[in-house]
Amino acid sequence: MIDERTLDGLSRGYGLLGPVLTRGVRPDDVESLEAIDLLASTLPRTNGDIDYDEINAEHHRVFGLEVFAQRGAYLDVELVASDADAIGNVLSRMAAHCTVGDDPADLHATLVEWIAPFCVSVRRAAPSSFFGELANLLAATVEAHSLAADRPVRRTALAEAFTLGDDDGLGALVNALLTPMVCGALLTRRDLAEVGSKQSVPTGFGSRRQTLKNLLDGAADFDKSDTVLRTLAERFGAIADDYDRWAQAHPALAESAASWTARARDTAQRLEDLASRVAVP
Amino acid sequence: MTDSLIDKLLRMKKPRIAAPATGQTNVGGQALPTYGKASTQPTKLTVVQHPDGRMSSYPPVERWDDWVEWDAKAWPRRVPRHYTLVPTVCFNCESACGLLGYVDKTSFEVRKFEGNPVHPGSRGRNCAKGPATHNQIYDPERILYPLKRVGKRGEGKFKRISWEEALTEIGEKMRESRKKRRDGIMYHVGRPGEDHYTNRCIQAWGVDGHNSHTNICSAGARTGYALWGGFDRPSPDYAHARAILLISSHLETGHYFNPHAQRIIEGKEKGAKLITLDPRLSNTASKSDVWLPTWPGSETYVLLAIARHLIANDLYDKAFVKQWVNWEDTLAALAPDEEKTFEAFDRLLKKLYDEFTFERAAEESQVPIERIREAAEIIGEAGNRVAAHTWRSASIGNLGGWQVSRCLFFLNVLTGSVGTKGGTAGNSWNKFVPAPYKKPPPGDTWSELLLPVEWPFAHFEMSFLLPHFLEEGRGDIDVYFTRVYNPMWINPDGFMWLKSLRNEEQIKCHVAMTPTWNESAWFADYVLPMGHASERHDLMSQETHAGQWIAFRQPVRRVAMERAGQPVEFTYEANPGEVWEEAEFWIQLSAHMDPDGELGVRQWFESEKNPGEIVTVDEYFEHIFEKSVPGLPEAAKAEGLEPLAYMKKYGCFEVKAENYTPYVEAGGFGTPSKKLEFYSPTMASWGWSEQAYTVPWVLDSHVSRKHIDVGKGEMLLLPNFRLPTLIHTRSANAKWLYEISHKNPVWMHPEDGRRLGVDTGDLVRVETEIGYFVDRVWITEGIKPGIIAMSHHLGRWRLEDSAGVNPGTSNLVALKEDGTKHELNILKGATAYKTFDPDTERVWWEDVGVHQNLTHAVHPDPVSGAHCWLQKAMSVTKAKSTDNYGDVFVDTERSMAVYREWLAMTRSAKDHSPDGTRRPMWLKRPLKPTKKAYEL
Repeated sequence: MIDERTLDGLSRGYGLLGPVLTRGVRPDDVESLEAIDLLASTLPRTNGDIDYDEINAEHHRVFGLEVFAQRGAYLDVELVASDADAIGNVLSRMAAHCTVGDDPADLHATLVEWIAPFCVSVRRAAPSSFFGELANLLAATVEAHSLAADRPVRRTALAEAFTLGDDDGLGALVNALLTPMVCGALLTRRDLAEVGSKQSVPTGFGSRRQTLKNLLDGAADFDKSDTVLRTLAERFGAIADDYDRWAQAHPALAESAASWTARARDTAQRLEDLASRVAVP
Repeated sequence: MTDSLIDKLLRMKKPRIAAPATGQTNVGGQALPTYGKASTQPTKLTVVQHPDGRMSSYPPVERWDDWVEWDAKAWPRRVPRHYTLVPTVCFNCESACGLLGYVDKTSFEVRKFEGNPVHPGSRGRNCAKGPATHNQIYDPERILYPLKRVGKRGEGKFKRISWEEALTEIGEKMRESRKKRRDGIMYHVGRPGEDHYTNRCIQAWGVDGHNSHTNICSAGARTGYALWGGFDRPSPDYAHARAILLISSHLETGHYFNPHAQRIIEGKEKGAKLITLDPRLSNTASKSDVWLPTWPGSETYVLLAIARHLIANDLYDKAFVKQWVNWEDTLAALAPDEEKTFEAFDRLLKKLYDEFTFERAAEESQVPIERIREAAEIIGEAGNRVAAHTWRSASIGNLGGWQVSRCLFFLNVLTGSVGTKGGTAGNSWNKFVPAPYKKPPPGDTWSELLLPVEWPFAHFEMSFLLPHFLEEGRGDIDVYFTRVYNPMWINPDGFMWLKSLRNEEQIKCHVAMTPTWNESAWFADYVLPMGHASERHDLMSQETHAGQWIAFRQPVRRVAMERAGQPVEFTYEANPGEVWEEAEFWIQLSAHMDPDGELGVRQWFESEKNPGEIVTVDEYFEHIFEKSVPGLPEAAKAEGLEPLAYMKKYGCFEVKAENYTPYVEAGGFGTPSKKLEFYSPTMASWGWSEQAYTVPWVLDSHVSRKHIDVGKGEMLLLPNFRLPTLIHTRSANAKWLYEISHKNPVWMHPEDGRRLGVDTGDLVRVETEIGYFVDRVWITEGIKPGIIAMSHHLGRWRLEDSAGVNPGTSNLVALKEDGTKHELNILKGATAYKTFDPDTERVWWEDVGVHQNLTHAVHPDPVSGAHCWLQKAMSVTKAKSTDNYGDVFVDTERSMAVYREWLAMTRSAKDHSPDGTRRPMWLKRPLKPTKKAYEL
């Protein structure tokens, strides 16, 4: 049973987070944003005035191009994501429940399952910026909700880890690495571009699927399959480290994060193994 | 922590929770807004068939009168905006692509421009320059009212006057001049953007006064094509070609760039091979199957080596050559003792071109022999489907550049690819120019300032030498109109222009008709604001493919207002400020020049419908559409429209969907012999009788390898390429385009960079024949060693911080002059500045390039009259400690000396004319005077 004051606070928190994650920042939001020092201080300003064009362009970059905000993208092995579970809408609905004194337990429980990879992805896509701080506030609010409800947090049940047989082609690897529920992390366009850039292998433009395919094709063309796979492995290792840090910052959600951490490390190892198999002597 | 977080959250506003939505909701359970006028039904879009499937859907024509879109700026609110879509024609290059202006039905603001899907040339597509028209019409620095100089010339002091004052004062000056003489009024056009409207006006004034930019653009290529067949440009059918041969960067910047580029790619997708000659790794070169980075001036060696391959291996189309080429005249001139049979001509060809081996071509061009052979084999296997083009590039770069197009078209002739499907036609076969309203008779005057006797073959006016002629005392000008033209900036040797534009004895009255401020307008007596693409009426057609079309440029706000029932008498009532258009201006000015009809001018501008009154633009174009465009009245009638209403609705009309080998029906070509003239009797009889001038041959360029001694520090400066998003001087008024490209570093090969000890970003001083400039270096393997390249169109400048060219796109400069010595130094680069447009405060770039053209000596080709743009860099060195970025120095005494050196190469009609005339009558002139005027 959550007390009325906490529900009021949660309703205000979710009531801000939902719309801002959905559509960016508007002047109406500023009063609430200023309640959190770090958020207010990271809003971009021009001559002292908040630059709404700048912050909303960043919103588009982060949520339009890099990080999916759908539950299905993380928890569905088929990557079937409907708009209905976009995180902004989920949070707005949770705010509505809290406002009328109702604890949205089911919505909260589902959100906890994928909050770790979502928040870590946002942090990675927008380090040291407003939306990175917003992801921190989101995690802290969901954690506060857990503590107030005193509900145990379960480990997130993920799909089977990937295995590649001799007959499996590039498509199987691409599918595995693009599915968070299988590989344990959301590889963003930025992740892929950085891996390509580090190894001087072209990734081209387009969807994640296209750029990852380009990256692996290009790696084969330039005899760099092993080094590209190792660089991808390093990336999964780094994401696992981020999960660890995130779990330490939000201990009440650590159990949910643990399965994501383990899977990301497992993927890193599998990629290392694969790199050894394809290395050119 | 938890408590403190809840405390913080409690300081936030309470969320506004909407009552449960009723009716239709979105997936988040929120009620959807309802808008009365916005249709939620799917709209059937016009589908344009493109082979590659891109950009194929457009608003259907039947919805153009009321098209609804959400207002992007109101996002995330869904605010519907109602637009009336008005077709018009882009004005930002010569291609004349179709645009659709989205005009808000409430405010008549122009929201955006997209492609016109029914335009046969561009087929709904545009390059970046088309949509950027929006930048130009909302440019905060644009000239909105007619201005008259009140200080000294060049002082920058102007006052606003009314259009009536401008018309009266300028009309009076024209009247005075016309009464005294027939060569005192000169119209000098940069971007024509119309077909023959103004020419008709000049003819009506009874003067020889048409001047153009052609001799700094296409004169070389025109001359070569004209000598072959009477037409002066090629019109390749790229989409159906098997081999495409380009001597220029057509995919990004060629003539008719967008319509051509899409068809080149179509051809490639169907299997055509693309061959490109360019010393620079252009976008086109990078897309080519065979890239031949030839040393400038050696292109003819490569082309003739390909010709030799076809001739020596009997791969050429003998039946075509026998039927259409003047081989009998050739034999008579070059092998008079041979029997008059085609077999003898075949032997002559084999003998003539035997010296042009692949080895020689490889040596001259410094291109691997295998690549030249590969190109020749591709041409040899293409049958009569060789689409070839040269524009600007080598033909306008080199002394003798006209032979580049002559040699290139030789390949079309040898393969029989002349006007065939997949071949190369003459421009005039595919460009449709209707007869005008009331055609005045030709004049009987010849202006020596336009086409002096030294250049009887010039294509066309010797425009870039105007200040040199004035300096020599060859004449003066009473009223000088510059129209979308910035001669001091765009021409070589700009300080010579500065001298003339300042000199009120040489140019007594300068009227700058321009949509934007420019360097030359600063020195004008009147500055008259003229409209951009969406603010004017014009007719245009271009030879974009094997077909014919005509397009109607319209002032979109005026049309939108008229559709809404608001009558507009003159276009400036609908345009921003009092920006006008030439079409109406010329009519009114001509009437003011001759108010009582005494000069015989007014009659050509009087209405046929309302005798005694001045014609309106509607009546003018209505007349043409009804009487001079075959098929248009019938097409209009089928829709229940008058022809003018049809053109206002669609903005274009397809006259012929396909047009192949029209010379068969016409009975030959536009030469005196009606044949394709391999051997040119005209050249021979006008003093150019050597073989190198009469048949396709090589000529020694002023920058061939033997003239550039790299060991001495000399290099070749290639300044005649442009970046794809630039529009000569008007890109400085298009913020989107300038954000994309705004600087012009010196391209330099790494080998040269090492030799000179410079790296990317370092300053170098480039010395030309008449001065020097200082620019940064860009080290790249995209340019051949020994050559430096630098894009034109950049390095804009202004003399006052608060006036002239935009602060965000130009350098503030100091101009120092000491006798014949001129110096330009940058005080500061581009800056952000505050206007009603917030984007002007977001200008993040400072470097807007270096004005190199000031330091170019004039190089008039003695035959074509083209300015040969390639420059001999006398030295390229690491900049001195006293040199600053953008420094320019020129000595105009040297300018005149170099001019005289080139003048000495000419062969004057006075000495060589075979019939006492100034120019072969059969060659084109934009405005041909009477035969009598041709007499010396």
